[in-house]
Amino acid sequence: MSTHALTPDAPRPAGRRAGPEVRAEVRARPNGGRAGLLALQVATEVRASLRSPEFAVGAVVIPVILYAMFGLPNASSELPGGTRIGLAMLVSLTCYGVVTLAIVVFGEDVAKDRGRGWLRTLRATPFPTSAYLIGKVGAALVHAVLITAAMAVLATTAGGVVLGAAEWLGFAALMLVGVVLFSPLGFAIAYLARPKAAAVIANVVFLPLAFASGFFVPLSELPPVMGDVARFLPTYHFGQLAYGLLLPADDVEAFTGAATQPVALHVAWVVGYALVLGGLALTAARREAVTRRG
Amino acid sequence: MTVIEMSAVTKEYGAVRALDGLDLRVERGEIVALLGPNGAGKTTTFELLLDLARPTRGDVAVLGGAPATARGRVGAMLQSAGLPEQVTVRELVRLVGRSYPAAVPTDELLRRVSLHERASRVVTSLSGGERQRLLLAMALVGEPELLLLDEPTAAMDVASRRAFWAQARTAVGHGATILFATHDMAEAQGVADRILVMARGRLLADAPPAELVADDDLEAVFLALTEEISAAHPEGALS
Repeated sequence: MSTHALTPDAPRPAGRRAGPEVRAEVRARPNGGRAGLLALQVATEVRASLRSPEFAVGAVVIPVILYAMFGLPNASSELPGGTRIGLAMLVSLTCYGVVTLAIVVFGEDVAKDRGRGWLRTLRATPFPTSAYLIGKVGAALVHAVLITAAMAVLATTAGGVVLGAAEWLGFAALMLVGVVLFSPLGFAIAYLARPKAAAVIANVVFLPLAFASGFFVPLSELPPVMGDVARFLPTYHFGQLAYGLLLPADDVEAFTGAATQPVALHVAWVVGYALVLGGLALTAARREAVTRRG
Repeated sequence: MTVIEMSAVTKEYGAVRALDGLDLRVERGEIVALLGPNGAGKTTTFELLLDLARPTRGDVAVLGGAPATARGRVGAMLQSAGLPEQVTVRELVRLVGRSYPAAVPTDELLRRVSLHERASRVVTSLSGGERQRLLLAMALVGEPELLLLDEPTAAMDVASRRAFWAQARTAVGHGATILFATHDMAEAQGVADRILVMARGRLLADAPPAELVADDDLEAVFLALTEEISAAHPEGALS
């Protein structure tokens, strides 16, 4: 039996050295390119989600059911400016659907992958974590299209909602932007919460946000204090952008009980939250990597 | 060519010293087994080589550079590897393969690891042995120059183990190098060109199997080595 070890004065390898170090990591170029990798990640995510019945129920069916329960019975009633309640409720509950997707589904999904060690497994390959997350957002965009389409079909066939093609496209585009801007909140929950607690925390965060923003019951029908709170919530401002896109200003005020504010203000609130929460999430993700790396 | 080189590597997690001045070298084309009791530092060694952890002191080089720069040239099976839900075997191997600079065609690789009949199954429906073969496929898909396998055959039956090592040897035949951790003495003796014995974050022995077990069986040698260091460094002592 023999024991062999490197001699103490052996030349130092040109590799990873201990201590503080700032160095850009060299990434292997994916075969098929980075765009090809992202496209495949999105396609894989979408297929995986469609195999999951709880996803279809949680993300797509619930907003549709809520619209059928709360939107359709009063769909033909009109606001003072002539807007049908069916349209206003379509906006509310589609906003609810896509923000649920971005916060609850995204947050829970990433947290589960983190908890079961899939993210760690990926880190041992050249697969960039950023590609994984962008792929998740890409899949969420596809799901948002499904939600918007399902809501549109119900609203037009049963709710008597009539919109032009440009209005539908504008509304769908805003919903997609909403997925992108609220994903950082889901991402933050995924990285800040313990994986098993993420789903609960996401709901604890999101449901009050949705309620206080008037997605379930118009703010005009809630106590005034809710309106005061809502002005500080990104979901409220996102809702205001969506109402403003399809409803005349007077009807937005009548439905939400809030005075019309400049579009730029709403955009600033939503984007500002996204930037702050995105920064928080990135910090949490890096902290986890650094903790692992010692 | 030296594929792995670790020089005086220490890794501490708070008060726990997982590696204690480890020196380790693996040359191209070798199959090297890493033996050690639980807590010896085997998994930490793999984490450092994969850039999942960084050394507190010392130097680590993989394929001549920092571990992070070698990612596209290394395939790994982690001991606690997790997999996503609702993704099929084919989708997962194809997805991971796409992240490498070059990839073995998915169906060809699945046939090689005898998973072609499970290609359309979601990964959560696989047995323990099938799951390990999937992880092997994910490790092989980028045609790696170095395979780092942390207890790769732990959940496998005898036939699966044989098939696994046949595949691994094929990879070596194509120029790959393998460092694997195991608790199975017979596996280490039967598969490896060289055996490293670790305990308490230190390398205790480094020799070909025949040399290591010249006068005794490997299990007796292993126990003698690891009990010796345990007596010299009682529980809790760092150095």
